[in-house]
Amino acid sequence: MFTHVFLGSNDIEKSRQFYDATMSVLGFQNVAPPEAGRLIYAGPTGTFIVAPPYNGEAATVSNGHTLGFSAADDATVDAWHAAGLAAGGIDEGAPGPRSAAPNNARGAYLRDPDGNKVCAFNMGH
Amino acid sequence: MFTHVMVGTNDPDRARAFYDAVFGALGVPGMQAPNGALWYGDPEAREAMFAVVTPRNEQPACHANGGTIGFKARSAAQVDAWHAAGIASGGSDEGPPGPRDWGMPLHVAYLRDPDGNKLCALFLTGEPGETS
Repeated sequence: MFTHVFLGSNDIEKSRQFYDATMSVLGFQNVAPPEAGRLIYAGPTGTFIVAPPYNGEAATVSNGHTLGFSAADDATVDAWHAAGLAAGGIDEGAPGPRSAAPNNARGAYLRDPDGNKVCAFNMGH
Repeated sequence: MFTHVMVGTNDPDRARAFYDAVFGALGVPGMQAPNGALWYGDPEAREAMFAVVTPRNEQPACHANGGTIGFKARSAAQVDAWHAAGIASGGSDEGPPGPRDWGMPLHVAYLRDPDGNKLCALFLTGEPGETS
């Protein structure tokens, strides 16, 4: 369904620390060169980009927005959450089963250093 | 990579009119969950889903600056139809359909949904797609 998702950053080095740590747990590496001033994590089913806003204004957070990442298994959900906490993220929901998710899937929630809400779920695929 | 992307709305009925129209143009089915959330995508397809919700913290939904969600289209014509459907259903133009070259040839259009969330539809020109 998705080609890409952008999130805004006001401090790309803090973002780099957080997303390099959490995305590597999920198997993705930043493919943008350091001088690009942005982060690009590319995979076969979509691309995730973190960058300062194009309009030159401060990045702001959406209330109501959540970006969910796919984890291969429950242990990866836990490792993703721990890596994010150790890399400048804030806990927004500890790893555990989520009754609102199909099959009571295991998920975990974080805020990235800019306050964007992200989560990882093991959806069994 | 993604399981789902969720955006907030302050007016679920208005959001439904918009998203039913734009996802209709892409051929993506939608449903409303018992809690009122709108979900788009095929849950049996094991692909990422899109959701529109009223924020759980009961604060007003607001859009981000710097956030964009890109949806996959299967043809340039589908990008055009997506943009037209959105404009006709409460969205606002954020960039008309047309070719772009960001290191690869693309056909892209941008919209804001009725709550201001920034969206785009993208067809990678030359990919196997529909001929229409």
